[in-house]
Amino acid sequence: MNDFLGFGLGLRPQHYSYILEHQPKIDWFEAITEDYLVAGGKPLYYLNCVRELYPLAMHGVSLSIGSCDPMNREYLKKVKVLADKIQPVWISDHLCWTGVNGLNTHDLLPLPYTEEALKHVVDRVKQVQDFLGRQILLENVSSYIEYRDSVISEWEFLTAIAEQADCFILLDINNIYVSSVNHHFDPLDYLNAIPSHRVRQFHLAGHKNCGDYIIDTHDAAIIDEVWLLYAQAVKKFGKVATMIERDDDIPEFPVLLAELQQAERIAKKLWKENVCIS
Amino acid sequence: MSALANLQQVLQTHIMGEDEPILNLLVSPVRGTVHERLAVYSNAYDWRLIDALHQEYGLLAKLLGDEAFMELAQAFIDVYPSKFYSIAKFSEPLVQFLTEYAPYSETLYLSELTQLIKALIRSLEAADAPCLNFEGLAHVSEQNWPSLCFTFHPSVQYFSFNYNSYAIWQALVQEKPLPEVQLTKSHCVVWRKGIQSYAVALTVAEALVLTRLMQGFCFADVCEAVYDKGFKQEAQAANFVANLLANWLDNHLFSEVKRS
Repeated sequence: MNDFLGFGLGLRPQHYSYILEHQPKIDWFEAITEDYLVAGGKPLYYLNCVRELYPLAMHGVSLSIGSCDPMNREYLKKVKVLADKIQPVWISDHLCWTGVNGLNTHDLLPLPYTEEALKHVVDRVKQVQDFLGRQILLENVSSYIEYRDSVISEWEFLTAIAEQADCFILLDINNIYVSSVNHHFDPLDYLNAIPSHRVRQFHLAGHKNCGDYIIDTHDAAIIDEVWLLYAQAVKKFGKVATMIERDDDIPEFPVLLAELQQAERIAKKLWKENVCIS
Repeated sequence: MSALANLQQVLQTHIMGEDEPILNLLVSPVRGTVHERLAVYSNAYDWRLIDALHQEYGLLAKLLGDEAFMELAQAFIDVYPSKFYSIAKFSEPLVQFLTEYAPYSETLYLSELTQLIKALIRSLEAADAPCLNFEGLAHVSEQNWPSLCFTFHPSVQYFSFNYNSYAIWQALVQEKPLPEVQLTKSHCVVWRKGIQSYAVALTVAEALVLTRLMQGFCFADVCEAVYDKGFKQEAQAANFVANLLANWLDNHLFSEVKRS
């Protein structure tokens, strides 16, 4: 899992034909796990075609690792079957909860940073890793509210979970930026607190600035402040697999590829200057 | 109930639209208000689910108009909040909703149209299976034909409607003037060929052949049924069924053939 995977993009149905026809020079793709938990047909046909050409990571949105509902075994079984089929480089999901009482909000809702939540999530990550037979990556989410119950910072919570559950971290640079504006903290405090040996992947994305707060929309180009934060992350964490997420107002593939090349330029320049740790 | 479980229940209830007291659980932001921040979640909840419905049932929006479709979507979300891990499955109970709840239950062709749209999506994601071709039948001797039974591809779905729902669907897809809604029996079959899904109308006789084959009846039984029901003369029945088989074979509706 330590090999540097390079620079990737999210696999989206709008780009299937382009990818297969042009086979663009790109290191890997990240597939949304839930899009492929189907019996067969078109989605799996394209996933298999892309898999023959590129490494794939599976990125889920439905694990609901922090929910107080029991783990969804049916879902986990399907994830395992898919992973056995496509042999992803890794499986990731979010440090959040999506619903309780058998319902699903289909949103990535934040957890309170408490001892109780920490123990709850660590136990469940261990269950998931035992079931899947592999370590998973957990991603920090953007959030818009903070709970009175929280007793530690988000970065302390994320670090404690990764260390205690022995899982990895998917560090979303845009989410750190969004939450830093929404909750008024220094994003560098966040970056500096995360242990390098736990970070396996970066996410980059665009967002919507609403004035007093920012919404993580994945529908726009990455802004300069997030690029600057990405450069800081490259300096601290070194060679970490990087990908760009785009889920709405999805442009033509070459537009996203150009944005990814910007990430590559930033990272390679910093590596060349030898300012990174690893 | 633990503090974590209580917090999750309260926040979820608030996001789903009920006036649950939650402010005492949250920190006031430095900029803006807690209400604005909570609204990000509750707005996203509605928007995300409505968008998911629209992506699948854009044809319903076209038929009803955007405003009426939004009303339908909101009513559906209120009655059937998602119980599915995947948002793509959220619309599963939509047919049932349209059948059960007024005013939609008074215009039942809407639920039939919805079944047809959903069937096309399901066929795209149905399990893979071999496709029987003409070569697969080449070795069958003439005397064995009467006992042949066919296994359908997992994507094949048959519908018998009480309205002219297929014709309405077809007009919507082809962007042609909509036919008047008519209370009339209609039949269609949905399936996948390659990675494309299709829907085709069937005559009553064709529907009889398809349903009998799907029920496991052999070629001879199906020919007899066509004759018994008066669709064809005895001498023409086998030819009629064989031609249909050839058409469906060519369109990848079958996976396997065996003798009964």
